[in-house]
Amino acid sequence: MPSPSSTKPKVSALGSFIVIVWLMVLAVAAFLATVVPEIDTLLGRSHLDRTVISAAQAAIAITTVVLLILALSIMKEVYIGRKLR
Amino acid sequence: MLQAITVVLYGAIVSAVSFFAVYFLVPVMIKRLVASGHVVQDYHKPDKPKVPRPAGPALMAGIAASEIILYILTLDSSVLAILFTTAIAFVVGLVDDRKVMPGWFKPGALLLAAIPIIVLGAHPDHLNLIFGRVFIPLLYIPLVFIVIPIAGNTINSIDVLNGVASGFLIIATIPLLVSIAIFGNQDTFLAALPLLFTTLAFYKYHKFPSRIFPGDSGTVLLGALFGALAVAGSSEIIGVIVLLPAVMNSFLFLASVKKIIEHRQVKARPVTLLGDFRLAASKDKSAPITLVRLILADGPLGEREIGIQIFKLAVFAAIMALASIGIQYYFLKDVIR
Repeated sequence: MPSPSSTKPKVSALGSFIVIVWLMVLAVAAFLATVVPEIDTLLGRSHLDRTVISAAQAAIAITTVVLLILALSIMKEVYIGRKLR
Repeated sequence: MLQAITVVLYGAIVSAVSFFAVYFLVPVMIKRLVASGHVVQDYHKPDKPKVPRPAGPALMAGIAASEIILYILTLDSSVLAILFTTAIAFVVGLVDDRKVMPGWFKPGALLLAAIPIIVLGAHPDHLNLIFGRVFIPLLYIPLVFIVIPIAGNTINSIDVLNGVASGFLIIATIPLLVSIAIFGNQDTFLAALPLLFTTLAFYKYHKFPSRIFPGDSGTVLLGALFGALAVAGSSEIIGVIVLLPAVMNSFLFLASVKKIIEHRQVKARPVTLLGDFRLAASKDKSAPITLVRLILADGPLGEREIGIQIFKLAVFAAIMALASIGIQYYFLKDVIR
């Protein structure tokens, strides 16, 4: 039979990591919900085509999400570097 | 809009049908799978017992029965879309259960599961982003093609140890239901109840020590159902937040192996089995990084203890999702129906 674990399990570090990821998701959501729609007003003044404005908004939104993934990747490297190596 | 008493009645019917269908069907499946030799060894136990697999058909039967009844009661095409998405995901998983498929198969084939949501118009034209709502009628369509394969594969990838996938999903479904009740609609809320009750019934047989494994057909269908409900219930970001530990697991795995492959194709294992049947984090630098490996970085643990740690993380993510629902409600209370 397996013997009881001698090591006190710790998920607090992982929990902290998840909280940071959550805060990053909230930050990106705030940016996408508040800043990106304002581009419409900003570019609308220059009488640009509606499709161009929408394309610009979509490009900014996708770039933001890609940046979030890159930031997560960097954070993951740092976390794993401290945890496993 | 249905009256409150009707919602309660319909909710009770679909919950009971999904729960009892799975509760009574799984033991039958266990017997049939054992008799037909569809068993796999559970390597993490001292005597390496043979466990039947997959439970996917029983889970699908429970979900199909309850969603069909709900469609008859409501005649809402969104319920059909959710059912078809789940059924396609189940077939994709079943193919993977029966035949060894390449790593790209599941995410690739799961693109098909997104089609019913788009064709039957079950998706909204806006995205709730916690602090506001953006109107994206065109951009939403590619989003559906991203959400369904990711949700299916995410739940599939968290199916690492006895009871983990089903237990994790029970915890994750509760904030999703709350979010759908607030930001979605009644029919989608009713369609979401079978996910909770099917998983609750299944957990009885899947918990440590497992009497049956869900297989790819079981986990992929539950994941795709979760994704479809998040989309149809305007709860996409809440769905991402509540799945964060599982998303992190997939992300860590993909980032370390740097390509889409099946876990069985990985040569260096992320964890090693000790002589006392506890699991330890691999010291091999080429081994993929997974959630379990990170949990074990503090020291070896037994299978049941690892499951408890994952559930703790799931509860943690569920609390964050509930907090996010509160924030979103504050910002959207004037625009929600």
